[in-house]
Amino acid sequence: MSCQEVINKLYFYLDGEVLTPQERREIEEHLDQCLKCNKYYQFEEKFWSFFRTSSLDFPLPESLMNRVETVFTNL
Amino acid sequence: MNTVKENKKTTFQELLMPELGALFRTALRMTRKREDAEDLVQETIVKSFAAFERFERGTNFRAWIFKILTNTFINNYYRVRERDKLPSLDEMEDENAFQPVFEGITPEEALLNTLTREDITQAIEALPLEFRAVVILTLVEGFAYKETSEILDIPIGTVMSRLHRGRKLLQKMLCEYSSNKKTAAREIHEECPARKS
Repeated sequence: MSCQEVINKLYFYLDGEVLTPQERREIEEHLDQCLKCNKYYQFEEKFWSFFRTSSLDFPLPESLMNRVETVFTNL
Repeated sequence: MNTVKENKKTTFQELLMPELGALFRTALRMTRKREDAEDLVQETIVKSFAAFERFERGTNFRAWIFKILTNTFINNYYRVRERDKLPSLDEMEDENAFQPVFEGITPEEALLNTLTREDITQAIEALPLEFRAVVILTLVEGFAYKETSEILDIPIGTVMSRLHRGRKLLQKMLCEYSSNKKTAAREIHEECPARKS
């Protein structure tokens, strides 16, 4: 698999989507051998992991909990 | 006491409560206002309870209730005027759109070290709705492409293309936030891995 093909499919690889097991293996083999693609992969992996972690860190407001309680009382 | 109704309420509550945080997060990113987000979650709960007989036990409750949330948002909260407040996609996707570059690891680490949770929230909220919805559902809430396509009622190919463009827009915005925040880190801007060199 060429560098461009790996770059084109990298998001599918990161998301665990679309690709066949064979394509995933080919990407992994390429990443093992290509320093440039490996660096790019590591950046993307860290970036989206940071993105998700930061987005999930979100406390529920008490006002919403009070509303939910009221809704359930009235259902 | 109506036992059937009580049972329905208990079952519904047991399924709903673990998703409440995710529903609120998503509602807040969609509406961009806490009060509207709380209204949207409340409306979603009432609607989904009313429709709960139609939910097939053993299927994906999470995807089912997210579909009700997103439909309610699009029908009741998303106004045409919201589009007017946002830059057009052409403006956002300029010549600096994300292109992979293979610089050293330092600017990449610097970029991640500079960004905060508020930057991430701001960037998500700046995305046009069609990208924002796909990004939130897949990248934040972890829905599979197929589930996202069913929740939003769009083809899976559209999910993939919107997600790809959404990611590039987010990276571009976050690189800009990073460089704006730290003038001393000018080299981060210039070498930012999410900008064309």
